[in-house]
Amino acid sequence: MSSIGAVEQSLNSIGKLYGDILADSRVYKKDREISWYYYSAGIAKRVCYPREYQLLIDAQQFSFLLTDGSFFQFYYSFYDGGDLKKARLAFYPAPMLIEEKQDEIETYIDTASEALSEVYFSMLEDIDSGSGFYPGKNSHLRVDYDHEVVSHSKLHLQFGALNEFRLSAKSICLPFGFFTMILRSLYSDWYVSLSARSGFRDAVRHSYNRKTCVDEHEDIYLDVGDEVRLGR
Amino acid sequence: MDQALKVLPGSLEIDNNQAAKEVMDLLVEKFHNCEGYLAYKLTTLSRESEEQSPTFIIMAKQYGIILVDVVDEEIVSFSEEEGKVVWMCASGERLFSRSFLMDIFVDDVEARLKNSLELYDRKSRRVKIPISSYIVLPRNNLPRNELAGIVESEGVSNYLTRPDLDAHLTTIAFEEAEISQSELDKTISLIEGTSVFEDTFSVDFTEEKTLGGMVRKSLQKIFKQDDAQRQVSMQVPEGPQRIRGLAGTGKTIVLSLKAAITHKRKKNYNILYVFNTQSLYGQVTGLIKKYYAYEAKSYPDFEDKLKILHAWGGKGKEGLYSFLCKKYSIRSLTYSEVRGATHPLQFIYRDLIEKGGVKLEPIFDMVLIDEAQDLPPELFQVIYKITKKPKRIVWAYDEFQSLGDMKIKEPSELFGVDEYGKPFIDDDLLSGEYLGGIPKDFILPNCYRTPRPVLMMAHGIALGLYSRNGYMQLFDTASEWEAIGYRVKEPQKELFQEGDEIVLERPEVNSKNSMERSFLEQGLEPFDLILYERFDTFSEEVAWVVEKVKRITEDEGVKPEEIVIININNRAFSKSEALRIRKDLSDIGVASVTPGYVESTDIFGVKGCVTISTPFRAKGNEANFVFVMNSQMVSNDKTFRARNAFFASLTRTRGMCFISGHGDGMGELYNEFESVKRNFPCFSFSRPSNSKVSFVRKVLEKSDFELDEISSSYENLRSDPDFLIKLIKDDPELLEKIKRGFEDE
Repeated sequence: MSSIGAVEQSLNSIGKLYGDILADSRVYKKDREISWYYYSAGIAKRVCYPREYQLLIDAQQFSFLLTDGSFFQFYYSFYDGGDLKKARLAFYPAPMLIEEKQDEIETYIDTASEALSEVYFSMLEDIDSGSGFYPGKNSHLRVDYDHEVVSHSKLHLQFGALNEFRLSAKSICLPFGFFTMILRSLYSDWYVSLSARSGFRDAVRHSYNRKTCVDEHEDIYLDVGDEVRLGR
Repeated sequence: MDQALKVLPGSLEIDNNQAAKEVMDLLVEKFHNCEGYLAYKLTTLSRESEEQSPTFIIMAKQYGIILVDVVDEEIVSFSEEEGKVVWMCASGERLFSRSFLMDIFVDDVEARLKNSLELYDRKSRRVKIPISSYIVLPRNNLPRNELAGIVESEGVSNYLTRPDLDAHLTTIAFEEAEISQSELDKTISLIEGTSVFEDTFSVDFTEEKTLGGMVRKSLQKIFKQDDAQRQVSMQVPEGPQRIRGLAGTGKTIVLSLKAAITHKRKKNYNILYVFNTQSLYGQVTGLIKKYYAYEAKSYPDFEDKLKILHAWGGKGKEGLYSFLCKKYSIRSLTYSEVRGATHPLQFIYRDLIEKGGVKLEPIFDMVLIDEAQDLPPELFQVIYKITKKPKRIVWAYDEFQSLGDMKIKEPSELFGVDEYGKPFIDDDLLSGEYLGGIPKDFILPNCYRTPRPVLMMAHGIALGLYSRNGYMQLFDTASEWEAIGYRVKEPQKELFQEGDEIVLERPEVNSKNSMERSFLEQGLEPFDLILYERFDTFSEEVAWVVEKVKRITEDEGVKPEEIVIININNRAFSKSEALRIRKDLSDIGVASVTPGYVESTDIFGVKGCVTISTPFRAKGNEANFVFVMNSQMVSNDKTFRARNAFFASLTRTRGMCFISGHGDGMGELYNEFESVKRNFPCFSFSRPSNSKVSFVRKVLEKSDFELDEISSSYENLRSDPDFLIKLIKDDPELLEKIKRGFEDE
């Protein structure tokens, strides 16, 4: 089970092992809560991802900022007895634009279905009207844990672009594991050089051994962090 | 000047009240030797309308407060009706007793003065400043002691009639008093209502001995209108007016107050306040709201009558451009249509004139333009068209904001010419004075933000006064130097010439920031406000900066949000340098923001965070502690742009600054720093040769793009000296020119 001490240790490992790629660290602990300075709850709804990203970064809502502008949020709160009450592990990539140009989109329309053509047309209109709107192609992803929630699963993976979709999970590793999984998938160059450091395997092992498990039987399960376990 | 009574005519010129003008002249004659103010309708003391307040208020050291109400009617009798006293006039008009209204007003003046214990004795419950009041009846010819039956005698006020006016007020023994300068200052700020900008009731617990405490303490005292600001802010001009002043001289507060008092006095006026920096929006509305709410006990009409607009605006927020496009059904250009333009603002206003120039009609009674130096001529032309006669256009201009435009643009250039080539606003429209002796071209000489040593360092380096090769002599007349707050000691003539030995002094009175004095009181030197250091490498420089930040935040009570680090380097690597500083600060546990690189560009001074910025982005912002890094760029830059950036960066500071740089160029700059320090509070230098001056002017006239082109071609040529020599040898004309150039040296 993840304890407050284990979470702290795992966050420290991020600072120690991944310091080279961190532009800023804002981890903050108060009583039974680990978050970041000026933590405020809530997610911006009904705005495009670049705006969501901008609002959060301007309000300093991150635990770790990477040198490319992407950031992580790690929020934990514990019961007085030491059990985990709530957790949130999130990754916000630096926003990227679609790479297609106007003429490429025009060629897509030739063969696109009716519904999809509508989408492409409105994209072209936006480009034509000069409002300069190009859809962003990425979004945030996060793992939420809430011990008290009843309306949906306690632990699940969510994506900003499909906010109502929750992929339930059986367990969640500590921050270092989550961070490492993102590095391994999205920043392979960094991963290769940083994972060679001494202490890396210990930190991965620690973050997996002290994972939080939930026992729910009526949902799809995904063992977030499993892949990282072996440091593959 | 300091001995004489100052006049605040307010809107008297517009109201065109002849009786009041006559009385004002007599009052000026009577009180001209007093230290203080004579003001027309200065305040209504929170009344909605100014009908009920007296015409003049005099606040002077020798007399305390004298209220004078001018009633431009012949009064024939009075009567009491349902608990009201009513005055009958010869014209048939019936007036609510002015004497009764004055009684209430006197009570309200006392109530305001009670806000300060300096002016109010709690034990005796008495106000220490004597208040006397007079009702002037210029149309009543009877002597004042024969008014029985005409006006009631119960009120606190004395009456004056025609014979008193004809005798030039010599018939009256005004009650004399003796009040101190600080009592007078306090009285004025309470009466005029600007005391709302002071934190009267807040108590600061910080230890004054720490640097942080000292700076904050000195800032607390800072809001006090000076004579120059008060004269211009409390006046509604009957035509165009220019207000000049350096950064931190109070241009924005002057314009905001002008907007607020005009809005209050002239309820039917359509007023526009326009500016260029988004962040000013909050500041300007805040100032106006605060003053207006206090004085009028209601909310300013920002929707309709008093528009505060950014020059551009957009879909989300109305600006002047989008407002006009909407009003005249002109399709507004979108951001992407403008993206390629070198000067987007100029581009959209030019487009507006082309598409809708004929449609534009006068809709505003008064227009206030802040940051005029940053706005294109096309905008001024539009403003001219949308302002009603007599063109009450007031613009605030900072002639030192951009070294490239050092020469101030005169109105004919700013507002352009009509189809016959005649200027819309003639240059000489700005010469002369408005009523009350207020210049049409007004200079705010006092710098509030920046301490004197820091400001002089900024001027000295920016103008290269002590530089071996960066020398730029831009001000060639004594009056130009005086306009930015210097006193010319030598030579004693208006126009400077080649070879003149020039000595300038910056008098302490022109720097209202009290940091210098606080430092002296603590046994420190004025130049302890500026720390400068040179290093071999950028890494060493960063380490010093981080160490200083750590020390002042840990030991000196400085909050991170009071610190701004400005990187002079705006070229390659500036982003990675900023992030490097951020990371190193993060490593010692100090949070920071990097607006424009990570956060949005307007994120500045976030609680708990140091701000890391560029000279351009820091513009319009200020901070108590400013670090300027990569200063070596200043002496390496042949185009003077880095000197400009250095000036802009240093003048952000309200307290201390820390200057650093590294590498070869830093040695030369260090010597310049030392020269500024050695000569403080003077500058002493000789006027360079005409050829040098004209070269500098030539460089300054070039655009950034041209300068970049020239620099890179030069670097290319330099990299192959043999080839360069061959080229020059083959061009005898050029060779001759180069030879002559060396001989001139």
